[in-house]
Amino acid sequence: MHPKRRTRPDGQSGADVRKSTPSQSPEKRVSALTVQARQRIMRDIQDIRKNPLQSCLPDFSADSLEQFTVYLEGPKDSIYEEEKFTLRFHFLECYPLDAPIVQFIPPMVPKHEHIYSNGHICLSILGDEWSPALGIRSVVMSILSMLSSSKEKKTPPDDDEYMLEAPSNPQETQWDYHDAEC
Amino acid sequence: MDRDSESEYEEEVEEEFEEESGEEMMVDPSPPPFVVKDSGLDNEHFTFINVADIKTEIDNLLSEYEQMFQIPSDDVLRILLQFQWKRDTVQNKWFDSPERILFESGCTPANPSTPPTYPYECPICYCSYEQNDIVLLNCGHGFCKYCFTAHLKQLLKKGQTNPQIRCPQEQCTIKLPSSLIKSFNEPYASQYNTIVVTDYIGQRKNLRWCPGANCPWVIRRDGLLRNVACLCGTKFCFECGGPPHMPVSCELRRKWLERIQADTENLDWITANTKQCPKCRNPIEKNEGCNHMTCRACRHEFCWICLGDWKTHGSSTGGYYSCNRPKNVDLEKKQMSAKARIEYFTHYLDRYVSHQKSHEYAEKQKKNILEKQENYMRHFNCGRKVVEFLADSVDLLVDCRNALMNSYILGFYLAPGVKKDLFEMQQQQLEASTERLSELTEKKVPDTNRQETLDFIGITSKFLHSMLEGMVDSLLVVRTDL
Repeated sequence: MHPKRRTRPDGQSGADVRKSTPSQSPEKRVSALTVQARQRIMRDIQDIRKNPLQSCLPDFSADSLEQFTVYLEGPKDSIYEEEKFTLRFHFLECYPLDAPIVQFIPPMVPKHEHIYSNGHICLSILGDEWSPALGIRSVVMSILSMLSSSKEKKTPPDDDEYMLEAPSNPQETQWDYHDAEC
Repeated sequence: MDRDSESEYEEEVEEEFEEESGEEMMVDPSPPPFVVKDSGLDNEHFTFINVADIKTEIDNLLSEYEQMFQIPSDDVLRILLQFQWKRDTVQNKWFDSPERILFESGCTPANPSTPPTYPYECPICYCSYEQNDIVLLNCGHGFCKYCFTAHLKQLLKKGQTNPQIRCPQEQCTIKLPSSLIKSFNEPYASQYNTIVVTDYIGQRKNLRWCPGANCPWVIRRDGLLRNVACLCGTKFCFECGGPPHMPVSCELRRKWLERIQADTENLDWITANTKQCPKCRNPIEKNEGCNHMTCRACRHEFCWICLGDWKTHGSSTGGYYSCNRPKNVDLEKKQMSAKARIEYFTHYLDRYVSHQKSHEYAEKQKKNILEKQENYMRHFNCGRKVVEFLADSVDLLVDCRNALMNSYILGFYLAPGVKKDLFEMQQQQLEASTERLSELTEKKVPDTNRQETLDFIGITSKFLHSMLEGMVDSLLVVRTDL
């Protein structure tokens, strides 16, 4: 079954950071990461550097900690094999208490039932099910397993409709996760 | 009649009326802080509960199961939350297998945990801590107390509505015990309580928050009626939270509203607002709620709905009010022809719109009632208590118009049969009586007849109750050929 979603009404979009700048895109938002957040992001990145993940090529060259780009390759033996995708992490001030904003960067977006063509991902751990014990590694692994288990390349059934009303920040969409896989 | 005897007479009437209605008012043994008049909505079918009392109810439930199952109250709460506060499910599951229900509710971990070694690295901030600074859960996952508190605070700040908060460790099925949440999160402890109470209310079919702004009352439904008049003055439907709309169900009302919205463009709505006098053909716009029209030009009295002579309508003229039944539609035929279907729909739509307009007028009357009461007091030189009947009559009128408006939706969908005949009879009685009441309330102050109005308040209120209560039956047969 496909996940249903609805856009959160204004003012309920979660943490104060986001409320104050609801219309800005993640790229433009000014955010000052807390010391804890910086340390934690550095640990996350070190962790990936030391124990690389299969089909995942992180971009360590960025000069800011707020954004982190990962180039993904379609997992072996999956329908996405040899395809290339760009995944971007955007960390909020209170990371890891707040979930990072994670989305694919068009046009490098996989055609998947739970991934909208603007790159927004319907994945429970990026929303309500986020836990501060998760990190870059666990998010990448979840997304890779989402791709591996997919049997058919298709866009979400409400993709067109979502494109018309999608907020720039996927966290402002309230997702209903119907699928255990999702 | 001089003034003294007038006011004496009125006091007598007052007493009589109070005695009559006294029985109904006595139902609630503990009067709420401010009493709201029962004006056609049956508050005896609803109980108004304080949030504190709900909290006590929950606490009682917890201690009951604590004793029955011999487990800590934290575990009871986790079980109840997991199984939507359903006593049957919880008890059956418990007696099937206590271990399983404890696991399913996130009280016990899937695998026995190994105690951590200290100094321990917090999986959130990756800093090492000694035992004192670690919050250790029974799944074996530990977090430093700084991260743990910050995490909980963040969840509550973001407006967490789910009282089941998981262990932060990935894939862990343990739910945090409430005592832990409250102990680590002092300023937010009461917020967590509210989340639990809200969950409880949300899961109970017979409980509901009043949708009124900042209204603290929780309403418990004790019967089948849906129209609630909250103590804060908000009137709403218990099931959908929208405006009250008995006798029609939420589903049929929604269907109807969709339908008339779609048909608006095709129908000539002016017919609902202006009509010609059936005698002199002067165009007439209705500006008051009563359907008893008197043409200004020729003084012809007629019924707004069927345009027939009013003589055949009012009980005072020996007539019989029966405009609520469609006349030209052959209801016996199972399948209606397209034309008949349109006629059938228009019949109900006309009456629905007409009562809707009248409802708006009645609301307007209600707004101006204080002024009218002042005038009445000045004119008859009487006290504030005496003029309450004016407000009562308009309150009742609003409720009646609303009920009648919605009754035409129900009428539209009801399949022909004994039930529908009965319903139409009740509707007809209420409609006739409401028309009379409406006329009485529209009279100028000097012409207002208090006794007659009081009588009609009594009668109309009875008709209203019997129509609403008669139609809560879930066995109503709905037409499928529309």
